[in-house]
Amino acid sequence: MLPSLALAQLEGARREEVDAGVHVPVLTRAPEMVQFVEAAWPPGAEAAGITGAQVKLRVTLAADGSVAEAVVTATAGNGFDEAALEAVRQFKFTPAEVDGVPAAISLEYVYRFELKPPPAQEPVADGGTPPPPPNAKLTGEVIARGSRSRVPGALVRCGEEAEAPEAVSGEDGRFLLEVPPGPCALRVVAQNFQPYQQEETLAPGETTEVKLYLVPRSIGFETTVRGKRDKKEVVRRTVERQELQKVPGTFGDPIRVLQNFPGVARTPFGLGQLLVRGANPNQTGTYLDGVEVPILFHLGGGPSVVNSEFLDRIDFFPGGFGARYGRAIGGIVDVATRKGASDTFHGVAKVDLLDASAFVEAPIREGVSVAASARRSYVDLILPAFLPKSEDGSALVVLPRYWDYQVRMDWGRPRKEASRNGSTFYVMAFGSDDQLTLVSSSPAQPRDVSIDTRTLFHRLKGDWTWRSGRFTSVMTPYVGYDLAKSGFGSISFDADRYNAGLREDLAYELNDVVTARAGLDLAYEHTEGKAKLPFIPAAQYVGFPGAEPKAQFQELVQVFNVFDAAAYVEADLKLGPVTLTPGLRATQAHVRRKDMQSLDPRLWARWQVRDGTAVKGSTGLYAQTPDGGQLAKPPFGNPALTFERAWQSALGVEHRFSDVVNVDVTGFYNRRFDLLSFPGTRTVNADGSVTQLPAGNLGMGRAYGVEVLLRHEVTRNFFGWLAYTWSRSETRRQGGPDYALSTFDQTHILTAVGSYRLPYGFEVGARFRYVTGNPRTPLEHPFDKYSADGNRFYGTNGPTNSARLPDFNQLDIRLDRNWLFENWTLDTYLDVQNVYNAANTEFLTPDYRYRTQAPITGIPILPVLGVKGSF
Amino acid sequence: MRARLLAPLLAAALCACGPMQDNPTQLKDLRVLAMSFEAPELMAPTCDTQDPKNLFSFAQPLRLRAFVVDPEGEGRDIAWEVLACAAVGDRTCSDPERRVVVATGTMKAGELELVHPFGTLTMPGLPGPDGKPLPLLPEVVQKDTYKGLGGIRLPVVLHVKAGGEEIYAQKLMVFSCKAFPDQAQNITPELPGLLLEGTPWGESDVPPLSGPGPFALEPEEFSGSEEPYVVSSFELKPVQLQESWTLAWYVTAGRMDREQTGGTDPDGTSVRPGNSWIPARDQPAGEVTFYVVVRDGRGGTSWYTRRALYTP
Repeated sequence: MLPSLALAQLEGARREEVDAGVHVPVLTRAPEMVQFVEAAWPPGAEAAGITGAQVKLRVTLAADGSVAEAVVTATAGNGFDEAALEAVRQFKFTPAEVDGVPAAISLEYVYRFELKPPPAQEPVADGGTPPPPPNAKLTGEVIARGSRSRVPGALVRCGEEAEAPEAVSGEDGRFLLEVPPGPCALRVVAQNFQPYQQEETLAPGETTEVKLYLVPRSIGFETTVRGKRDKKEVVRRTVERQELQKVPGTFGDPIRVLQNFPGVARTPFGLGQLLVRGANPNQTGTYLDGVEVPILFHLGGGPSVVNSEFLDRIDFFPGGFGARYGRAIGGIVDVATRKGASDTFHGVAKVDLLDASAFVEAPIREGVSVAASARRSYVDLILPAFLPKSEDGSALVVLPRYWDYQVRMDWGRPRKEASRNGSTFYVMAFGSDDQLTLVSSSPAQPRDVSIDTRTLFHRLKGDWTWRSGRFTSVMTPYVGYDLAKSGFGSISFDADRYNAGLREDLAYELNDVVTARAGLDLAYEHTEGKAKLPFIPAAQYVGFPGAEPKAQFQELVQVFNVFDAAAYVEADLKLGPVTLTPGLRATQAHVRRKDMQSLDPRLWARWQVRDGTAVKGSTGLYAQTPDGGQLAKPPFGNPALTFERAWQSALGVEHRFSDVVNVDVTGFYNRRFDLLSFPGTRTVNADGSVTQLPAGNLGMGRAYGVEVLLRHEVTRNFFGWLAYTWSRSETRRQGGPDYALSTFDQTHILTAVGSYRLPYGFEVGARFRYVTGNPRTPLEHPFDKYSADGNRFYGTNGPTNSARLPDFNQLDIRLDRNWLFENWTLDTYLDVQNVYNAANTEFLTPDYRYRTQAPITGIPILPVLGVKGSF
Repeated sequence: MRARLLAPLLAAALCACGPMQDNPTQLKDLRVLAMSFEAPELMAPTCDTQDPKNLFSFAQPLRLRAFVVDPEGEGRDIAWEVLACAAVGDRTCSDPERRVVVATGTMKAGELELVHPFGTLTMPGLPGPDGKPLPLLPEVVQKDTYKGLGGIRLPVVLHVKAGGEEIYAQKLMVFSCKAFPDQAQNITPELPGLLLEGTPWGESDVPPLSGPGPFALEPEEFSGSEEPYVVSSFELKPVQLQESWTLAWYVTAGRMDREQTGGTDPDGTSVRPGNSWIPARDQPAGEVTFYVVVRDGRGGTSWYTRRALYTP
């Protein structure tokens, strides 16, 4: 009766990060078992005829490698739990190291009991015993089937007996066994993998090399380290890669996933913009590894420019973000990419309705890895096959096309030498290119159409992280180029923008009470733009109702520079259960010829009431620099523009029910002022000329509400969350009427997301949303109002935004099927938006006499099929 | 600025998601199709407000015409009044102090004509220090956010009412001054003629049309009649423009393919002025009347009536 065992496999650290100077612990050395104690077979089990069982335990190791605590998490009954506990408590491991220092750690451990028949008796030889033949060597790699990742910590044995030779695979998945020659009943056990067995015959004195492909217990979700990050912000939502790719209704678009969190309003027609706590989309900053991304979505609202395969995670701050971030008065989206694999070459190829993408990653040599991804749409390649052919000499060209790329190369200390001190570097290039061309010409058409637009950006950045003891420095320089070009008939716009920047983030842990952070955030832009357009009525001259004249054209040239320099300081003061984080961000901006300054104090406080429960609050000022183009001379700009500003405050409580389930309830109140408002003021000067400003800092806004997030973190089989927001968002203009509801005010936003892994490689996910209808201005019709010059009618409106569209509700479902092959994995998915074809009203459009309104409904049921291969 | 260019594309996309709307080219109920002033503009020889010649420039009588249709009214009486007021944004002349009731009456569907010196109107509800009503034109300048730059635009409103239907139709009368040497007073646009299926189509012609259609209607070439003109920029510099006439189409049976043709998009693309008539599926035989309203984009308006005899 011989019990066998399965050795635990630790959840290894997958990333290092320095976030706002707060270091997240990194597992630098996994513990290794040095003393195994065999459990006694429970008498009750033997009597009951049970021949096998499995006990799952959560084992806490002390810093010296001894077992501090063992708790059964999946019971086997019949006395197996007690037997496993008694044995496990006597195990000894080498100490685990976190950041190079021995530290306590928790791990999952499975103790498997198997009843084996006793070995047959061997005949005793008469006469002298011959010398034993030389041992054989069995060596090789333990590899995960499908992903081809190397499996560390797998127990490899040659035989079932207790004394059978065994070895444990290392970090690179390799093992070496010295065994007696002859038949070898190879057995491999590793956590999260199905047991593996294979028969080998080993020759004396020879070395046999094998590759053992273990089948994962389930494929799809990866578990991650839930590092205990010091949470200073009141609200930071971190989304893991699995969540980014598998949320139904988002087409695998990582930015769109954020729309399902509290505090983010629903956008019409599934567009990807982020409307955060009442702020406009352009008031939320988006960063990719610390570099601001100028365009978030292809073609103005299509897929995001970032390939989800390249992402490690996204941190989303709906407000109350640290002094490290600036140039935004709404929220912050911080996208972190991941470094390339260090074990072997991997890749992903994906094809769906709109585009095809590929991602590859590989180690170059010890400590050096590279990752690259590229995506291209193919609608422009297949569309011509479906467009009607012209017979009357007319032309029709439709060319929507986009592509993007990301490339990253990392240098760092080799894994086995990893410690807290030293440097790591990486260089990254990323960019995006969108083009839309539409040419349509035919005598049968009312007009010839010619549209040609192109927008692109490229960035090249470096990252140097240096640590020495308690001091950390992260330096991030970057350069970039943006192009925006558009042509509509005889109108053309061209702008080239060259930019460069530098971030330096420093952190110093003075002691257990005080951690200080400081940094610089410098950004420079040089813009050269030209335009050819007609004189513009209402902007340059007084137009006449209904006039569509052939206007005189003008050529405009603008060249300008913007330099935005910010410095910040921040400190964490840990006073027992209370942590205070005061911060200050100072900005000096030189926009064209105008200098502007801003001093923005911020404060966070966190009170750890008890383990798993914390109360947190924040308050602070925020400023956003205007775009340089908006400070042109009238009528094309307003040189007097200054920062848009906001005061944000929040108070909340978070509670962790378990390791994977937590809840967060946060109330917020934001005031925004000096917002850009269009049009600006109009002044008739003494000589009769008119100064018409296109914009002014005349807008004001306020938003308040409560956000609730109940979340189940990513585990092996499930992730999901329930998000609810109650909020109110209002705007007004200086000198105008009192506050009225803003266009995207949504009183109630309820989103439920879940994804569950089923047997046989299936995963199913669903997203349900219920959202209050957007405000609308009611139409009244006592009579027709007609302009005889403009040949158009005007409506009679009720109070602005005093009514609402019908409430929105929609269910999206995603079904994945994974096939696991030896060297690769195939994933096919069906993502169906609006499963029950709800006719949600997005807008109301009036008839030509403004007597009635008809609804414009959103996207109907929309199935999207995709295929992804990974290796 | 790109609204009109993208509007057809957007409308095509949105209309795929929304229900069919009332078609503006189909005449059924009470409609004011057009209004005009003759002359459409009065231009003072100079912009010197002290010049006595300018005082009389705006005093001459002006002929106001309006074209009202009421196919389902079957000849009922239509009550009307002509109002003038100070604010262009007041589309019903609702401010009792700053408005004038120029004339009232009843009519049948058809043309209304009124001759009056609109430039000398006064406001009975707003007396001056001497107790006499204040003149309306200076009040229009005061209410104008541009304070008269680009011309004084007097809003004149025709209010018609019949049965349960009621319309306020606004027409602007332009009083301007010669700020630049090459400025000239606007004249009413006149189409040289109309073509039906490529054939000249006179006002007294009633050509036959047969079949499911569509049938091509277009104006005779008129681009040579589109006047160049000059307006003042906000910086008081001349801006060169050229008229680009628009044509609005209406019909008493079936529908027109497009509500409005002609004009120029903001990107400089010319819109073709031709149109098509599409008979209804169950269109009965009989006379069909077409109306075309031409606008020059600075107040000048004219309209034309044509007829055809349709057989399915």
